[in-house]
Amino acid sequence: MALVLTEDQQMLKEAAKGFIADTAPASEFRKLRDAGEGHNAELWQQMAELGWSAVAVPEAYDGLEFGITGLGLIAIEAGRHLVASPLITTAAIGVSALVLGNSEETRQRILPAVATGQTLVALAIDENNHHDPLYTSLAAKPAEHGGYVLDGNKIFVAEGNYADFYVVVARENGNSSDDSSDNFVVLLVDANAAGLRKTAVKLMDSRDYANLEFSGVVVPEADVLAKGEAAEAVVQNIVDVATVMAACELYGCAQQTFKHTIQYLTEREQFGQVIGTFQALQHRAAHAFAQLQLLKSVILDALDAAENSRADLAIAASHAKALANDTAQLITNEAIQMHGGIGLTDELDIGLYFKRVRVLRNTFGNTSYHRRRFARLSGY
Amino acid sequence: MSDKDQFRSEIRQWLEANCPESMRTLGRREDMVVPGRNQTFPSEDAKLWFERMRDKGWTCPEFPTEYGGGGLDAAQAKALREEMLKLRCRAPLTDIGIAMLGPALLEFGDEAQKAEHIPKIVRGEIRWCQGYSEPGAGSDLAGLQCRADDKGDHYLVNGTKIWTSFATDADWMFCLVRTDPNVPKHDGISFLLIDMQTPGITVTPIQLISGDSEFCQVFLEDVEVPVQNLVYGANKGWTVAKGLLKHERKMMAELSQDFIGGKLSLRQAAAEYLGDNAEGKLKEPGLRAAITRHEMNMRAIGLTAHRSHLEGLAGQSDARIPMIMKYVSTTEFQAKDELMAELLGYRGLGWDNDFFDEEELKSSRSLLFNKSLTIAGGTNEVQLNIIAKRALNLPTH
Repeated sequence: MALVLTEDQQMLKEAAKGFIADTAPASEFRKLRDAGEGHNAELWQQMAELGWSAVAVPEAYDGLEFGITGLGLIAIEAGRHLVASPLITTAAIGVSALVLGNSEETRQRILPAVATGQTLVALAIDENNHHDPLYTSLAAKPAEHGGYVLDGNKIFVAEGNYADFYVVVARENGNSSDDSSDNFVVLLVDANAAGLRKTAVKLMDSRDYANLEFSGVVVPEADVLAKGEAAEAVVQNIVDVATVMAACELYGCAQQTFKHTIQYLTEREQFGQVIGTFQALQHRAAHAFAQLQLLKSVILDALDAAENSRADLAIAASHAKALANDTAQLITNEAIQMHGGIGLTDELDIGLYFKRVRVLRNTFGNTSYHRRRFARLSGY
Repeated sequence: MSDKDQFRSEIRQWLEANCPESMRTLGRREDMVVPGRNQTFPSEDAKLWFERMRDKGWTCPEFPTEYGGGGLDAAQAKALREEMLKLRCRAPLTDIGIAMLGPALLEFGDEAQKAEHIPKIVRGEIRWCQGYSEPGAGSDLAGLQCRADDKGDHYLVNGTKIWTSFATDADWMFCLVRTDPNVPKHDGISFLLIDMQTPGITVTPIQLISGDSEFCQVFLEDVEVPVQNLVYGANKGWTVAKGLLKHERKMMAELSQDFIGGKLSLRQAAAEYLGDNAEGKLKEPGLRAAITRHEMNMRAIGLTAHRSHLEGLAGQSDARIPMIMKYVSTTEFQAKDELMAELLGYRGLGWDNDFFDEEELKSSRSLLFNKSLTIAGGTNEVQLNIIAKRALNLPTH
């Protein structure tokens, strides 16, 4: 288990830390939000120039083939500074879907442009307010000369308004029975395809989300990433990578929120002394610190599981997400409570983290979903 | 094969050849081999296993060979632990001399003290107990009052020590005493090694809620301790105590579930005492969620211990990790006891009747005894104080 970073990974982490702190601190996200924008194309281009869009892309398609752990480390730093970017949707999830899928032609056509940061990919999976791939009912009808025709809806697609392509998880013939998992299809759909309509949705985290409506959208055979028996494993694998990435961002959010809070405890004075001298607050802060340390280990283990396609990836991913959900919830709640009234103002960043964490907690599965999944996979 | 793999494979072969079959099963508490002047063994196999491991120095794998230890480095010792775990080999010898005093003596003791005491620890010849807490000095350990007056060639010790585990059976005690009452409390403490056969020492066991009485009170009246038994110099005992406490907390964080709990896993107990539903899942959704939460916490703790070890090997030790381990581990051990009690119902609350089987009784005793885990060796509150102060640098008054 790679619970300690290699020298290369350490270097990437330091580079990400430095670049994001200098170029894309939380104040940049605030500007983006105030301008009503969900995406900063210029920033993504800079990130791409650093190679971040190509980290998980295989060398054969002009990528760096550096591995998922590297992306996770960047996602943690991005979480620390509330960076709004397609890092997770495109560089981690989109790339994984294309690599796992069995369409070589599509890979050759798309991946090199993904590696340079020009092409953006988003994942369209949720149809329900709660994430569970088994709820997928979007109908993919086999077309006469290969490929599929899509009819139905996807909701809350992250980075959905500006993505160039969607990785769409659907059901062959739209069988919507909840416990069936044998008729998944995974398709790559052009954002400009005829019959596809997108509507922007705003969530409390001020990021970019779109609802998608498919009316007879034609997907050629070459863009079928997975179907038949192999599809379920591909869906699970894509979702596990996505889950681990969301956990990484949550960990970054929690780390930074905690840092701000500890800082505040050493500055704010009441009763003639800084409030960090009060044992009631010290103990809660110490408890939160212990939880953060446990989370770090679980995140590193999950990244290793994803990078090496370990057999226990699903368990490691669900563990990471459940614990990240819990820890980020605890720390953002404690942050507001320990800041008091000022923590509720828009002036402080604490609220921005609180809101991002609330959305991420629901993304790719809430705590009870992942606890249930962990239990099932562990034989409970 | 790398040297590392070679070493591991040699260990495994040796263990396969030398660990008796009966020592490859989970032991009960009474099956533990403990040291002592009049050492006895729970079985012939236990004796054989102990002697073979002792002769390799593997009762103390990381102690230097010159004192009879195994001379292994951290990675080799870990390989040995892991191979023993795979074969389910029992610990050949369990003792606070191995886990606590030995490492502290190696760090702070003089040559004569090391030569005298370390080989006996390795060979299980002496059982040690720890004279730290006093009736008036619990969490405020440095407030201890047990006096040791310098009489030239010896110290004259007067006072009392409490919560001293197994003092009735111990041969020697390592003890914190006050040698200077006129300086700030941390600066007047010394660390003494005391033979329990010295005249003036009496020991009284204390009955606990679990029915156990391994905790004792030790009374010292005009006890003469040779000055050679002073470790690391007069009034420097707090440094030794802090060093030793680290080992104690590490030991408590690593306490094996086999030792502190029963053989029954929560999953087995749930299936056996509550039953599964038609889908083979735990019948009670509330308990299923609580058990899952516990299992996740245990997995996170295991990964963190492993991470800390790997960071050590890579020369990137994070000194903050050991500070959290006792707090998070002991809390989860207690959570397991409470869950087990809930799963077993009345059968997990039995006392000493034939109506209950051994595992059930162990479960109820463990629920009661393990309440000590978050108190002994530094209460959770003291641990949180340490984290706040040293890991988070929060100010004190």
